[in-house]
Amino acid sequence: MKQSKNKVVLWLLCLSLLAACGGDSGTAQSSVGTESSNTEVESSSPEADAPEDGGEGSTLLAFEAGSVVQDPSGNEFIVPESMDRIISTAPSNTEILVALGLGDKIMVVDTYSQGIDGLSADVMAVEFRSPDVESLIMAECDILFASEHNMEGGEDPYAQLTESGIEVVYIPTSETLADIYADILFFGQLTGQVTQAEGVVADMKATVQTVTETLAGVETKDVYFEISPAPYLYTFGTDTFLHEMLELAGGNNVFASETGWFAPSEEAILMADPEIIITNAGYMDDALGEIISRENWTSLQSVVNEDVYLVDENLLARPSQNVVLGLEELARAIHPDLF
Amino acid sequence: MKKKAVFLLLLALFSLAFGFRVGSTPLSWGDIWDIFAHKWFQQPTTLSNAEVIILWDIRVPRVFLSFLVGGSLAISGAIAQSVLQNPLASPFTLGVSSGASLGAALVIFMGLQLPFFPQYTQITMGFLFGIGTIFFVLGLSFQMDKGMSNTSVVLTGMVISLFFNGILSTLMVFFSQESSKMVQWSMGSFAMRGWSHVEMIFPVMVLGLLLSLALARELDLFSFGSAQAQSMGVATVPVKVGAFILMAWMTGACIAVSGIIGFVDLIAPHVARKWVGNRHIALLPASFLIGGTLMTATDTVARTILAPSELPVGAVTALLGAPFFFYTYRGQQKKE
Repeated sequence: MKQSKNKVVLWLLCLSLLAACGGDSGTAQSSVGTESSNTEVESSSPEADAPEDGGEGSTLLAFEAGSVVQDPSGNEFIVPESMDRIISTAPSNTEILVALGLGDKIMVVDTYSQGIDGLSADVMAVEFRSPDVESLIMAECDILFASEHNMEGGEDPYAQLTESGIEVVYIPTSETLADIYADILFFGQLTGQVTQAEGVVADMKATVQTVTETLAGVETKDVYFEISPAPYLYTFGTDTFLHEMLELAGGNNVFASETGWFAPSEEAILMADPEIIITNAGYMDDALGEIISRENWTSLQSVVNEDVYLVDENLLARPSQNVVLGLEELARAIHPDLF
Repeated sequence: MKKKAVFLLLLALFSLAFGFRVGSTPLSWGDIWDIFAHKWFQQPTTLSNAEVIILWDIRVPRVFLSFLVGGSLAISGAIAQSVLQNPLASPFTLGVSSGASLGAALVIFMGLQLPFFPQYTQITMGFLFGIGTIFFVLGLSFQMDKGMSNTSVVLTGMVISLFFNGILSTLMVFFSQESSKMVQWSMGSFAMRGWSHVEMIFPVMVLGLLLSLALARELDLFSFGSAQAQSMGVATVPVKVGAFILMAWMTGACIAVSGIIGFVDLIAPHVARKWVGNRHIALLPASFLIGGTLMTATDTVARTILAPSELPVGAVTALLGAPFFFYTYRGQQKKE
């Protein structure tokens, strides 16, 4: 957590420095001076995230066209002159771009992004992991927003695009709220929609705050969160985004002693006897019925009380502004009397 | 011989008992005895209901299921090796597993469902496709070669296997969103099974063992080669076809309850041959016991070594199976 916050602060610093350098040379000098004095304060105490909260809209500036910028994954790219034709190859990126009011400029998406509200009807779709590079080049776009997810297996499917003159920006699969806020602000700065991006982030923070305030002093409940149904059970321990969300939503992960993603054994779940079972296997025909009818689960308190809930599989899986909607849904499942 | 039989039986019992004993929830021998007494003689128990369910409804059926599946696969493998006189032959090299995978893939990708028992769609299709593939392979090799020589059967099996895998890979590109389910299915698992699965496979296994023992003399003669067997009065083609159907039926049932788990069908008969020799009246029961012991042991490792998380049993059998395979291969080379 500390590390990621540091990353965000560093990020914002880099960005504001870059923005400052682009400005009028006389004033730039002095503003760089004040920025660097900020640096010392922040690096010594990373908890004080000044740029995020201080002065609405005043610290963030859109990137200058033609300048060299680092994307959140650490790759350098040149900010293109125009951004009227956009390729987005991950649903999280598409959702953020649409939220910033750029839905009509998206020309090409990946197959998972199809169906996101706000895209034009004739948007072209390419395969998520092995996109057809030729059709991407033929789409004559200015910029491509890729996800580190596209690179699973270590191969960069867009290397050829960079060579053909399309700027490729990589957004990491962020695993904390703070990183998602930073990603959205980056989108805003790059596309010139800074105010919208700040608005989106402010809305997210407000939702999170409402949830945490409602839950203040409320007792947590033991939750087993299943992300893959029988017979291949899959869940998570700490150090995952879903764990962070589960705790924010007033739940107590029964597998908090484990880290990362793993396949739990059936007997471990029976022994934990969670108060609530949550699944996001919405692609199943009857995900809840399947859990309730499991041969050996009939004595679990959550099954007896039918405290088994289905949450949307996309809201919490895509690092975009919609994760807070997933958070609300989760809180509603765990504390139905409060939400 | 008797000593060996007793040893194998003890080994099998030990693997079963060990399987009951270990797991992510600690249960002592005393607890286990307590729960068995509770279930069999209605004795009161001091253990919690969760612990009773964990032993009686999860561990015990799972241990039996893995034993029965391992044993049945081993018998299928022994039949394939003997009939085809090929130490590398197995129901899986004859295309059963790729056929079953294709059947399961069609269910997953097309969203097919059986009318009355939707939850059994996948295992039923896996079973039917597994058996169907054997008929397909036998039919094709009969077309090519009326005598159904071993080489043509094995070759046809491998070609069909690769052909089905090709279809499967192509389908996985079109249905990339569903492909992770397919990958999991093809790794095999005994997790989340209960007594109902044991009840499904138990009659298949008993009947399979008895039928294969009835074929023991013919299988003995096949070991000398098809021509020799024929000259000794075996109706080679009908017996071959019968043996293959028996093998496919047992393998199909195993795939249906556990997904695809390789290596045991290949390894267990080889170990059994080293132990009790090539006479099938001894070889088949020995293969059954060794296959069952191996499978129960590997499944116990798979579910306990990283508890409370589980490894896919197919991966663990392959991890243990591959070194064994090279060990036997080297042993054979040294002899020559």
